[in-house]
Amino acid sequence: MSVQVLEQESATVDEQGVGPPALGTAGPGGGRAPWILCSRHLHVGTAALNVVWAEQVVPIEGKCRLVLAGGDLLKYVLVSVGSRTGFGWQGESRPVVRPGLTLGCKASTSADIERDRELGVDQAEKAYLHLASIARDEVFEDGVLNSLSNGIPGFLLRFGPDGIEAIERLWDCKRLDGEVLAETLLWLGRVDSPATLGGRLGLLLKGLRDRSPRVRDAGALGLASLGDGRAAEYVRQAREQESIPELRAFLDELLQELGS
Amino acid sequence: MALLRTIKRGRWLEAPAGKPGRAPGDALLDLQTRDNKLSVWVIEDDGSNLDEVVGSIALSREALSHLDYVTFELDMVAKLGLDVRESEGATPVLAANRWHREVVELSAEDVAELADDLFRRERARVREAEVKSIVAQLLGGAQVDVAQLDPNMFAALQKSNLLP
Repeated sequence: MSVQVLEQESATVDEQGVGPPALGTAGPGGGRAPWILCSRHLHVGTAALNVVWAEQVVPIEGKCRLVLAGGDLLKYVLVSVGSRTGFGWQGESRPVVRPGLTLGCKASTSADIERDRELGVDQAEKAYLHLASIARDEVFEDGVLNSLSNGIPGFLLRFGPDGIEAIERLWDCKRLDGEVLAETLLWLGRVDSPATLGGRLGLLLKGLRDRSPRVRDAGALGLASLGDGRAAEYVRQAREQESIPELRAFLDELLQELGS
Repeated sequence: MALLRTIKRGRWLEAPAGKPGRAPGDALLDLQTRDNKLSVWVIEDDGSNLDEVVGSIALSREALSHLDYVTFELDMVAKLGLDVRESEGATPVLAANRWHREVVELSAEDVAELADDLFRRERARVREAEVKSIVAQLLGGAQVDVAQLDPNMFAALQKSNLLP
């Protein structure tokens, strides 16, 4: 039995095993066979998603690792799901996955998967560049919504961790100007996106090390909004190396907040 | 008495390369005028109205956030040859609107000089948690005209349990 990589997207499966609308879905009687997403972005609810088939599904810290027969380890896959007993539309437009469901699937190679993942990040880059191009014409003010504050939540919902990687790539290639990058970090700290929490934390910590004081300040503000205690040690290190007194004082305050 | 101007502190942290002591060009984004007037707020010598002014500015926005500002003396404004006039503010905190002023008849050179002067001063940040606390006090004291709140701010206050 094999698994075919068709596409990738973030998905969350809740306790009842119901996830968001899947790509390429169609109602009964027409269109392509429905699929569910089983990817590295998959978050398993309190009930384990126990998909039984020839291979083993191992949910680990929100990732879904499929071990295929023969030991070919895939980071993520999309699974084509056929109509089976216990699986159906139930009058809704999205598939219902129940624990213990047996799925039929086809496999692809790791190279195919990596290619598809790169495609996802490339698409995310284009989407963020478009957002940034709109943002360039705006004058940002604290407490005032703008194209980034309005666009980032949807961007992360659509691209998930690929979106985070896309922003990092654009940053490294200096394709985001200082104002846009700083504002991006501010809103990355505020957005409600559990699927990208780790990635956002990483970007904000990267902000603390940037050569631009404006970006360092924005990274610190983002970390203050995020309120994740894991940042404390990094903030302490950044504080030791910070040359600008205003920033150093804010990092001291941030350390106190994170400590409490 | 001093005058307060809100800014985005990240824009003011570093002089441009090779120009020590000079305000960065981006700082002018925080000194945008309209009809050659710049909006500022009077702060009493003892700072007794600072919270009220900070809270009123925060509540006139669309999202709860930290608030950065810089203060400067009325003397400095006079030294620059600038004129300050009373001008009723338009925030949801009606009692605070009397603290609003405008620096008027500004030329581009005036704004640049002001930027350089403000760059040499200490800039303050009221953290988001503190802003929320100030806003909570104003709401609790029935000092806010809730009908004037931006819908996004209204929703943000509800989400933060500051409004029912």
